[in-house]
Amino acid sequence: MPCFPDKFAENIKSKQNKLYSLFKREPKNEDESYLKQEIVHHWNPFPELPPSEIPLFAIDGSNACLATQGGRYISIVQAILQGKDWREVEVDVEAFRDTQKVDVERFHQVHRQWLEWKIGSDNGEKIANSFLFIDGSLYISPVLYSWAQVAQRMPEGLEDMPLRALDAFLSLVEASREYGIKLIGISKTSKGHFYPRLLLGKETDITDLEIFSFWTEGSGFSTPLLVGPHTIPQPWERVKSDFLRALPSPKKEEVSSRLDNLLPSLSVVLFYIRFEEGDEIYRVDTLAPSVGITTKKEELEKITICEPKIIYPILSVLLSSHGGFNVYQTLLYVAHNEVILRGIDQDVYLTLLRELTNLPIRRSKVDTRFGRRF
Amino acid sequence: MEVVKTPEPVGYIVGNVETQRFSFVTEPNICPPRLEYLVVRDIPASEQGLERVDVLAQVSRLQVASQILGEELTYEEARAILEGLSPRPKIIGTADVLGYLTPEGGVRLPRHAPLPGQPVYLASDDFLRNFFSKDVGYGITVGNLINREGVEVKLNPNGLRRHLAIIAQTGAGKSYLAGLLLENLLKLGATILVFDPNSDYVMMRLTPEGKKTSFSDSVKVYRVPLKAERRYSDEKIGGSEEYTIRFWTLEDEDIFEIAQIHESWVNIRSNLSKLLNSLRKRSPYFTPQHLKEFVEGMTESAEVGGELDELGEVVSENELEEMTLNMQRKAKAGKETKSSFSYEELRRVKPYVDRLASLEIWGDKDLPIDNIISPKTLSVIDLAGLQQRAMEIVVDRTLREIWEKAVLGHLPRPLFVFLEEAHNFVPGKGKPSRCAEIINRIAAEGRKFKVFLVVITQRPYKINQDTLSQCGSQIIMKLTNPEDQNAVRTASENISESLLADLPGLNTGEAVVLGELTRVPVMIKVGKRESAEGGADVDIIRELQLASREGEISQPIIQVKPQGDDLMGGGVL
Repeated sequence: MPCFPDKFAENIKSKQNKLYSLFKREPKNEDESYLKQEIVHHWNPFPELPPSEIPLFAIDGSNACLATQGGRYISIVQAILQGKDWREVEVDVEAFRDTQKVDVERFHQVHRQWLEWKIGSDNGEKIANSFLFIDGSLYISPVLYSWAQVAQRMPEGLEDMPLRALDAFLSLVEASREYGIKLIGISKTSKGHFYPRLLLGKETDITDLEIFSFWTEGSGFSTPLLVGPHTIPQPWERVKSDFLRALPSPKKEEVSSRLDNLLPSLSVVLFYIRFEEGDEIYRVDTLAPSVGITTKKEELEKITICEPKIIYPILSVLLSSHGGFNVYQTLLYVAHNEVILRGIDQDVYLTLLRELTNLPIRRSKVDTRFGRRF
Repeated sequence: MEVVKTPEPVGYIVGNVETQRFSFVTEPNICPPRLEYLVVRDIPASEQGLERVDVLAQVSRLQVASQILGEELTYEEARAILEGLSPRPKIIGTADVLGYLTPEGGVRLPRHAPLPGQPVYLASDDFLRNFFSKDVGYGITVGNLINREGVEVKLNPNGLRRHLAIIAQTGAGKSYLAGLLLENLLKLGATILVFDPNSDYVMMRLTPEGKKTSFSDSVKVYRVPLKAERRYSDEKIGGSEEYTIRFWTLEDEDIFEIAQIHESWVNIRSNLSKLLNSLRKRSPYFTPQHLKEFVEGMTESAEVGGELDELGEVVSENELEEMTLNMQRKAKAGKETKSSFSYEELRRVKPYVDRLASLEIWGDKDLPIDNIISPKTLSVIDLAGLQQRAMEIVVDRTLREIWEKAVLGHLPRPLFVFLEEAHNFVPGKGKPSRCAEIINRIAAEGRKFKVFLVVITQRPYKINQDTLSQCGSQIIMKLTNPEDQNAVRTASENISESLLADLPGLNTGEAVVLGELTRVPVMIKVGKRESAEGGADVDIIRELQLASREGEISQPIIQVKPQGDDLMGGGVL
């Protein structure tokens, strides 16, 4: 075996200081020192809470993008809506040409997000008066912002995928309002800067995730914040118009008006949580109406500190459905394991595709390298 | 005939399929258990694929997996997931194809593999009965199929033509099974001889309730006379006939072994040999009692060696007596003469001679071979109470006599010879046994002369591998020792690795039948015997309870009367 580990060790040695500062994040300036000092006041121990009796559901999705010969991609997405001993599943397949303009990865992400939101909105009535866990953020503005950047890079014939996704999200928000569904998004990553902005009153480089990961200890949760849909640095109207302009769909006028109507509902109450010592930080989002907040117009651009008690029902659900280090939320864990697209599933799908279409579709070496998967 | 038990399939074939094995996916509520029999219908039998047959297969493996309940989970995590949630496991079964039955009654493997997606069904009892026992009208019933109480398995008696080995570890039920085979062979009219070192078969005349069995009159038990109490008394087994061992026919080596003179004690052996030779010169017929008296006489004589050296040829009793008296007179006179034995040498031989004389097995009652080979007779030679060498001598002499008859064509009917604890009679790895040679000869040539062996052993590793490999059929029960499994693997051409892997998992009374006794290897649950079982396991708990009670009863009760005024402290011991 080549002596890669020796080379690895040499390389690490030469980068020791850099790694140390990266993994032991210390304040770099006065602002950050202040943040480190202040953030502990926004980190709260878990209160004693009765277990929640409200039904729980979880949505998760999985996708595989198969590169096939001739520069064709097949995007397979499957989504699951998992309850206790009940589930609904959906699958969608899209095939497209790979060209220079196409951002395959991003299309893939939007495709999956669309199906996840769709399965939730399609089954709203069946899951009325429940908590619905979603893997990921509920804060739509950054999503729209990033989609606006890539809307032009969707594959030919699938340019409207971001619009479809937004449509599905808005339907889910409407369904949650209509059927009393409390949406809870749990993200393992977050690039938000809400707490520094709130505490320093200006934009900084450090993220919420870094602050809570490196400068707080033990289990607990952060003081919740109400974040309006306009809170991102870019002007909301520009983000929206950029996004819609990039889309060819005739539906965009309708979506635009729905977006405006739903704006107050798109405010999010968010907080960070660490379930146990040594675990990582998760971001939890819920739509403001889910915790009884109706956003006023002037709050759409603001960040407001909320009373921790408003999220106690959510905390109760999160804590009672927390399994442990590997299982931060039991239903999401189950949904994830049920929905995940394994290599063998991809082979089954590809075989079915070949048989149903009678087309000689073969995988490209882009995916398989020297392997023999068919 | 119904082929399938239920019209609904219990699974569908998935994955890569071989002609001899396939996997199927199933569900918890319909999942067939391991070893259950399945049918795959309409498989092309011939190369051309014209003839379609129903193929029998047996579930050899079940794998249950859960995508959700992975091994990385902690107890708390698993409990949290399971609260109100019941994840559905995925069950994949593997089945070994046993084949299909041809119109001629043979079993063949299909030339085509079943296809993924084909349904698999539970085989019906009728289908299984037909498959395993069709045209075996004159069969030996030994039990039913594992998992199917309603399907009796009949073994083909012709399968015994190339001998049978019954192999199982202690406690797995091999003697019980052998007893059942004996019963059913006897009912078919067989002549059977059983060498029984542990009195496992002496109760065959009686039912467990103590009544006579239907074949009671055909069973004869032969025993050596013993003063000591036996495990099963004559009264308990319904009587026995006596047989003894002729001491004068033994070779010196036999006598050393029976007297337990270690092979390194060469002087004692040499002196005893000389004494025996002296006796043989006197008379061809002598007993250990004669030997004892002879040694005692010479021990008293101071000139014993010199006089004996003069004995060149056979002398009369009167002459010997006169010589002995003369020797005694000389001894009393204190005269020294040349002697082959010192007093010390005789003193050292004497305990072994005494030991030989104390055994009650000597006499001149031979086993009645003509009775043993008479039709429809089960002769149980109870070897219990004999030393190993004596057992070997009995087995050797009996089998040689039978073999002589067989070879000369004087054996009128087939004789089945059951040899319990066979590893002690035909040991492997160069260990000596007096009877190994004749047993191996029967194993090699017996089928030509109507003598068929059934060797029963709990240590196949220790038995002579040639003997074991001569057995064309095997009935194997629970076997966990890897050395024993290896021995079975080496000796049997019929056993597959998957069957070997099954052996440790068999329950008491379950067995795999291989070889010519059946069309295909079959796993059975041994049926019920009519006769009582000797040598059954001791119920230790019951024995301990009895011992404890006896102990309490025999404990003296001491009562002490208080003395004087010391009322507070008195009366306690």
